Amino acid sequence: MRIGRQTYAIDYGHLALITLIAAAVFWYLLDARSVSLSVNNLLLVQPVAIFALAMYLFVLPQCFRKVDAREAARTASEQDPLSRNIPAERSDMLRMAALSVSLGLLVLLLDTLGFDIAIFLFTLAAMVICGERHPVRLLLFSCAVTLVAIYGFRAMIPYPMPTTLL
Amino acid sequence: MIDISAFHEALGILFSSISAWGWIVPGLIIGLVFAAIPGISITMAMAIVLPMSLYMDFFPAMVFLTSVYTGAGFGGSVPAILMNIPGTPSSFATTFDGYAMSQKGEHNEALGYALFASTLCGIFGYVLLLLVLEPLADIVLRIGPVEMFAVAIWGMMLLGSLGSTYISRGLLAAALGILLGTVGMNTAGFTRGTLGVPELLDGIAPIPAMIGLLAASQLLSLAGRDYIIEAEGAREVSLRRILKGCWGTLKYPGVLLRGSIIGVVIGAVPGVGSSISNLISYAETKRTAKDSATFGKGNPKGVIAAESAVASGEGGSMATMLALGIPGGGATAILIAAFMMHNVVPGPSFIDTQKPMAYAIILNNMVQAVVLLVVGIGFIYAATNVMKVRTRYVLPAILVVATLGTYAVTGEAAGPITLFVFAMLGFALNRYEYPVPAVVVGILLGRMLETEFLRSYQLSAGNPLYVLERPGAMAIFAVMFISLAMTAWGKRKQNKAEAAEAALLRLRHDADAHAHTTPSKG
Amino acid sequence: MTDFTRRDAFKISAGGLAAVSGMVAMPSILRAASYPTRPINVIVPFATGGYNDRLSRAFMPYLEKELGQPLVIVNKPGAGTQLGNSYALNQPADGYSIMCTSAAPYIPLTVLLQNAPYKVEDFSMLNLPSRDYTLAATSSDGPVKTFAEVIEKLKKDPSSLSIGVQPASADYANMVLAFQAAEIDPSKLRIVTYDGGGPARNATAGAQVDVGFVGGEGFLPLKTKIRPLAIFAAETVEWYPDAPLIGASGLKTDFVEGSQRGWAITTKLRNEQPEIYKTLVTAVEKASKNPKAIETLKLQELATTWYGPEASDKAYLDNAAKMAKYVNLLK
Repeated sequence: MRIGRQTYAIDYGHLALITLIAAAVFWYLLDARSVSLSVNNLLLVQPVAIFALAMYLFVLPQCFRKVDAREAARTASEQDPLSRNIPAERSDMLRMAALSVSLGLLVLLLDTLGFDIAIFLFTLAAMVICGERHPVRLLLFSCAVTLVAIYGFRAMIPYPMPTTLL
Repeated sequence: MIDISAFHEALGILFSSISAWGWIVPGLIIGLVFAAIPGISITMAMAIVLPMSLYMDFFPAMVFLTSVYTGAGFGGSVPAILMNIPGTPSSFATTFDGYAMSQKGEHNEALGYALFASTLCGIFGYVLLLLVLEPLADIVLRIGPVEMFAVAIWGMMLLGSLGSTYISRGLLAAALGILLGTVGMNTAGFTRGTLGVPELLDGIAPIPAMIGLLAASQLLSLAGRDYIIEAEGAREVSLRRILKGCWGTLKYPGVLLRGSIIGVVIGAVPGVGSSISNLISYAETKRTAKDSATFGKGNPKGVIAAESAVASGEGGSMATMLALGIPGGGATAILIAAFMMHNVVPGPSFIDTQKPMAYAIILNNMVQAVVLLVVGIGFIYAATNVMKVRTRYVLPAILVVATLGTYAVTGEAAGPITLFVFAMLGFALNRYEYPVPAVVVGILLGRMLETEFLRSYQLSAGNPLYVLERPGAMAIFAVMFISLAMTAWGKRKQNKAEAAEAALLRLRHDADAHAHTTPSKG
Repeated sequence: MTDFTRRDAFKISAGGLAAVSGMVAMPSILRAASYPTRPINVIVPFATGGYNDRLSRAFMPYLEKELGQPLVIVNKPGAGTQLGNSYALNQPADGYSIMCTSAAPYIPLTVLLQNAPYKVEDFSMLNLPSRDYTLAATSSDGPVKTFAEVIEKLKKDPSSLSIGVQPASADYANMVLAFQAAEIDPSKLRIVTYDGGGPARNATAGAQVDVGFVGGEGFLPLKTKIRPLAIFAAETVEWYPDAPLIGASGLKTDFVEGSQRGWAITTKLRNEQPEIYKTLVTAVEKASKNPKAIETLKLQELATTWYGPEASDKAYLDNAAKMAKYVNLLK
């Protein structure tokens, strides 16, 4: 995007994130107000929500950056080992994404598949994603994690864990 | 103050029942292991051993249960330091510098600092308790909503020390956290933002949300690494270095003392506990430190500050329980249940009629803190070996444990789902340089902030001058402002040094800052 | 939870698990004959340390003796018992899940105020030994001495005293009814809301609020720190004889009873498994009448009185009807 002599790049991901947050905050404010307009309900929620929306407007311009600035920011963030741990390489990003998807599936399928099968499959997938290829090690370690997790947690927590095989 | 004859009798109880001491080590180990598993709370650990204690005599049963309590107080800091997952909300502040230290290969030292701070302040908390058991109990009941609101605000001031490149993004993150913390039914009975999901009526479960937010920003990003610490030489497990950390703790008596006092006082207030005192202790230590710029980057004082408040909080909540018979939190609720099962009712009459027994329990807790040092070193030594395992084994296992841990919090899929949703949120926030800890602080304190603010408003009928009738609240606000003003004044010189560093940072994000100040024209 | 049935379906279709599917298909009467064959879960819809949790844990050994199987306490706190209640209803009606809960007024309140997806009649009482009443109290060193004094002060100036109470509770209804009877406008009062009995009691004992309206039983450990002003009961309460009755204050007011706590099951279980139901009733009755149980629980200020399923059910349904009558006061 060009404005005057300066070329701006729009950071669509960032824009989407904060707009989503602002929308959620706005909905929350409306939801709270629809319940009751009493001070007992809105004392903290309303001012904080309005403050958050104001901050949104403040952050909004940061989604538009000058093109040449982008490269500089990227190299700089790689040098800081602590604060930003988002891997820059594409393969690492893919691994993270795959791991996230597996975690999501684990969470959603715990009840349906039973805890044992879901945990076994997740461990297997996560090991493959992290680089393990040896089939014996994959199977043995996944079994071990499943057994220890199921029997360990059964002994520790007061809630029943639905399982299919164990 | 202390009743000397009762004290002598207490020593008699203590030494005539040496066999009860045998329960200390098993209790500590159970506490350490349970608390080191994210999501498994102290309450759950104690609920499990509760039936066992039924078949013991009263004093051994108390020794056993309080040992679990003592062990669990420290156990949470192990995953906090090694993997950035706080086992409980009370070890949240430990992650700030603890994890940074272990990323630098100083995990041995970090755990040593945490353990020794825990031990020393655990003992200190109980000494204080021994001296002021009865007066403290009366003070605790006098602490009202206005005072608690002041404490919550103090906790929120931690945000100022989190440090973020963009202040605006930090404030947006904090506001989002606070709002997330207020979802559900508030103290006046109004229900907001639940989308009709009954699980949300009591709000978003803070522990799964916290683990999710932090796990995403660190754990998932480990997928590309071969080991948790990349440098090979840094992965060693060294008893010498653990002990070096322990010893190093003694260099910071001021940090220990401040943390202990904050921990005891806040720990004694029913329903609050150490999940806020560690934040306040950390923020105060950072703000008053000469080297505050290095906090969050592996400053041992950060670890010590957080741990000292957690450990001494145990003494505080025991005071409330013994003297008033009201539970400060889940763990003391179980202790009360155990008292009752032995037909002993804690409270004012217990202190009047059985003071030697109360003292004996307190004294035994000091013994436990000393034993914790030995057992804890062994535990740390074993746990640190995780660093030597390749991530392809550690990571899947930890993620499974974290997921089951969040299941243990709620007892149904709501916990793991919360974990996942917040993991995704944390990932996105981290990606665009929002301080994730600010959201966590908001979630942890949002509810308390609203509840106490609302009650203060109701009590005063909206009249702000009401605060003048509450000397306690005025004192807290005064201490807060004086401490703020003094640091601001005393740090002018230091600010110049920080400004130089900030200039460097600014260079890095020069373009962003520029874009930020330029109003968007299109 | 639909997930459970889906999982069950998976279990059966997984094949090779003939034994499991065989058990599912087994006629219920055969299963009942040997009931119980494994540990029984006791669902407590409150956090550890509350009255029900303590009651279940203290009563457990005696009930275990009658049933011949261990009991496992499952704490399912949240949403004013709604989460625990839904959880109980979602368990199979096989007698391996029973409840220890403050049935009234919590179950009716979740139905009336939170649109909980069940009916009051979905739960059947085994025995509700504990009967609690709202107690109006003040800190022991507070300036107010009697309930009549409270009324007098508030009539002059409705904001002269602060009131601590849990919103949407029997206590709240009683407070409003009493003040309405005294012709005080409740909307002008300084009402401080607490999200549980415990915090409201602590605030009363610590003089954070001038008068607290909370369930009286929980006050017993703090007895020395408070002064009872009025208890909302028709006749002298056995466990707190010093507390003056609300009728003695000269105020003519209707009131709802406080919490009724004890042992309950789902109505589905009672109707579908009459044999198991009978076993459970007998076990609770025997355990409640065990002199050792009575003695132990009395020491812990826990109730064991045997009212039986009919009387308990009636008390529970009466309370639900009264709550429905006064629901508008709570909104």
